[in-house]
Amino acid sequence: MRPFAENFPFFCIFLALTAGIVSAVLPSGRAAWRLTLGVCAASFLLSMGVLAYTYGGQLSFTYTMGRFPAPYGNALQAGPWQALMAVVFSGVMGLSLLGGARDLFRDVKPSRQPLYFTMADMTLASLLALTYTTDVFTGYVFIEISTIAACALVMAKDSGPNLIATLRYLFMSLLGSGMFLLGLVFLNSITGHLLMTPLSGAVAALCASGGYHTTLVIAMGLMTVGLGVKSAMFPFHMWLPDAHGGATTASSAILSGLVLKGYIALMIVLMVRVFSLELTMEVGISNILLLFGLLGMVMGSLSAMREHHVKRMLAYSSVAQIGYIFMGLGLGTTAGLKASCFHILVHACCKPLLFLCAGRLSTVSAHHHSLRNLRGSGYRDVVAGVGFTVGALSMIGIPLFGGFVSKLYFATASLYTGQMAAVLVVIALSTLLNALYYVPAVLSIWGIAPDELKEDVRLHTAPEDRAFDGRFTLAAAALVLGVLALGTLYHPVMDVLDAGLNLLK
Amino acid sequence: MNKTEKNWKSQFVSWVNGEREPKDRTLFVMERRHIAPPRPTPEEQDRRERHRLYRFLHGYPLAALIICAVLVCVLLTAVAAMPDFGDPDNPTNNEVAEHYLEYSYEETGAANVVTGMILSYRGFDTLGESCVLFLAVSCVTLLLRREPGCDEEDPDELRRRRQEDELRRRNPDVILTQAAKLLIPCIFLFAVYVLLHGEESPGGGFSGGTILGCGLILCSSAYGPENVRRFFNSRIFSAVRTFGLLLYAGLYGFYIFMGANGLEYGASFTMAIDLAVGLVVACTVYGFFALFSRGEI
Amino acid sequence: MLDLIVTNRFAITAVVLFGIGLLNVMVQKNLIKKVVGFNIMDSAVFLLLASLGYVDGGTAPIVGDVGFHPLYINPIPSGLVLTGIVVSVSITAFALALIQRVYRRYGTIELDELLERAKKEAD
Repeated sequence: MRPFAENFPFFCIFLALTAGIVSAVLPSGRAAWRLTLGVCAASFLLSMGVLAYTYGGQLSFTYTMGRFPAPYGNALQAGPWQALMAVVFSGVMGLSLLGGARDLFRDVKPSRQPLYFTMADMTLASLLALTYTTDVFTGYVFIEISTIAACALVMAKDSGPNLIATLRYLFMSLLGSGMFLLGLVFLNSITGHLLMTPLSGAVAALCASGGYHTTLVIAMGLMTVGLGVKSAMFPFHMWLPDAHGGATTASSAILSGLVLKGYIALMIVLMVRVFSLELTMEVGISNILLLFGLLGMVMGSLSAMREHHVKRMLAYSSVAQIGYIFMGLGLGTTAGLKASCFHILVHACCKPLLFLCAGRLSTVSAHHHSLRNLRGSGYRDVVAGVGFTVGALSMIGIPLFGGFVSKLYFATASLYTGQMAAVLVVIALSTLLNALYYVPAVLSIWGIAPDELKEDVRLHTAPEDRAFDGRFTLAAAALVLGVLALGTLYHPVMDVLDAGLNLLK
Repeated sequence: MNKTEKNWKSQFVSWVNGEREPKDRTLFVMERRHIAPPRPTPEEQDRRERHRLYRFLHGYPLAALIICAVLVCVLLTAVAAMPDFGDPDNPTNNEVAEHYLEYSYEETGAANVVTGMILSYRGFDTLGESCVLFLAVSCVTLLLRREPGCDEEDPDELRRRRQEDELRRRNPDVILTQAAKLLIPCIFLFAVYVLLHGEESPGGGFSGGTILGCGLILCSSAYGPENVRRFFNSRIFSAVRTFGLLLYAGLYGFYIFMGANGLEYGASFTMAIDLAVGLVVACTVYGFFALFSRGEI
Repeated sequence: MLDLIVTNRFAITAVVLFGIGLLNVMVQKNLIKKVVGFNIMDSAVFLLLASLGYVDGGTAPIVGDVGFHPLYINPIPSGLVLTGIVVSVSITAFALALIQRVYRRYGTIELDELLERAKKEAD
């Protein structure tokens, strides 16, 4: 009999799946909401248990799904890295659903709310499965679950432009999945395995013998590009601003902060466990990732500067931050990988915070969205203003906040590689560009509104919107603490990431 | 001195308020833009938009053709380097496939190796796939289900539907009803046969469920949805779908937990899981038909 | 060269179909034709996957009362194709439901008209 803590990853995934199924038949949206929050909390606690067990014991275990050992049956593999990702994913999803609840219950029709929470539960299940899985075909199936659930999260707010945004998101996502599946088919044809551990042995043997080299390279390229399309790597990011900018607040937070990261987590696992880092460097995929990452950092920020709609600005900023993560992956060293993983955690805390606060500021300002009409809204809800400021400062990279630490690690990771100059220049440029659109936003919300704007807002804001929102305050406070913790207490996190990446193989 | 100060300060304030293009203050120079005239007239804007769309839509197919041609060439080189078709020494015919072929009957009780593989060895993928089916029906419900008493429906659509139902009730289609009388029992019988024989012959939950769903569709087309609703209405639909998937998840979860911890358990669950999958698929197929054609189950 | 094409005819057909499907998705203006393009792409991938499993002279992998035939085809790709087909059907249904909703809302399913009408409403 295994130690009981080893069953926790499987419990989390199954809990999320069954809660999703049950949510579809619950009578009221509130009941489904509470069930989903409970599942997120349970998953958070169980994943902390797994983290303590694996980091304390410095081990990573394989959990066979059934009584057939790998490679005959399916398996999960859990180590400190996977557990840390699972902790952050469940926690942030719970806080997003808590903080965006008021907007959610207003935007989504009451008869559809239980189904919305089904989608949220399935998104959580697929995120956990993508982190823990050690089989590429299971990864594909859960990628498809994540695609459908994420599209449903976007279209839950029923409006015409949202439908078009969902269509575009669905089509781009399907292209990505199709390419990933094609790469998987090629990989299976030359190695014959689907479980990652035997697959890595077969790939190493192929590299050593030099057989089927073209097919191997093309398979790797297809899988990387497929996952990149789905996680908004530049230049495949065109679907992101419409989808994330138009959805309801909780959906934007979940999509920007978490769903994109699930695909990147699978890409990291593939790069480390199946194809080793040396092979990706040798084949040139690292250089492509680096190039697209650098371009994304600059172009994402440039597009964000043109936007006046606050949520679309945040969506373009996500493109830039995903560019950072791909740049770290493209450096091809373990240090770069560690910096990318840390930035995944930082972005997963910051971006939902920014979206929640932007949503709340918009609600208390008569649902205006443009930055000029949000002038002075920080004084109407101080917590939202403070949260937005903290998130913006972190994205710019001010010390004490998480974003600064991740930029520091990116810069350090690039120091001894051949691309040091390019990376440092682009980090500097991107920091400047980030400041150029975040600082006006922060100044605008703390500025003084002209009198006619104040009048207009006072007339058109409903009293229930203006009332104090305890759930939002709680969620925003928790996320602010998370950002500050990542910015100051980053050493333990880096130690866990270190151990986790070593045990990932 | 005063005027320049005021100018600078007012410019800064207007930049913060977003009234000026922030690009004017960046380090590198974007395209030189004059102070933008107050919003161009609607006709001018329309013409510009149309021109942009025209350019996009006409230059784009050529670029798409080039990209697809390049991709096909790249994939063809991959295929040329792939192992040969049908060769028994391929890397795919390795010890995993041999293990499945040799031990599937004793370890899973299924003579059909593919059924044994998807329900026992790699059952987690099948659970994920059933969840995809469940999610698809939920999404289609989210999108297409008509709420009674909602103002989404326009009155013409409603009237047309009511006229069609009335027509069908008064003059039922003779060919369809007579053929359905013969075919429906055979279809259901065949569906149950395929469902139950998934382990010995080609078949199983997915094929059997699809055939069952098609039988229900024929029922609904021939005799009208009200007659189907007598034994299969919306509540039974949700209940069967949810119960089927929960049963599958519960049984498979139990199986995983027992297997991973090395505990023994008595019976084999493959038949129950097959039936559950069949029910879910049948509900999915019929649900798609009903929601697409009428907007309600 | 020619016998390479004949030997790998399924894989080459699959790749060509994939390219045709992708071209359809990118170039067609009608939304339903785009969805058909996706179906062609998915079918191509399933053809490629199913052709991986074939072994010359093998029969269907149903052991049991027929007696152990010396050569069976590989069962693994068949199982993967099964899963893939179900996923493809689900996604097609979702896409078509979205298109029906868009039609109800905007009255057209041609992409250029759709974008024009959406832009006009946004102004």
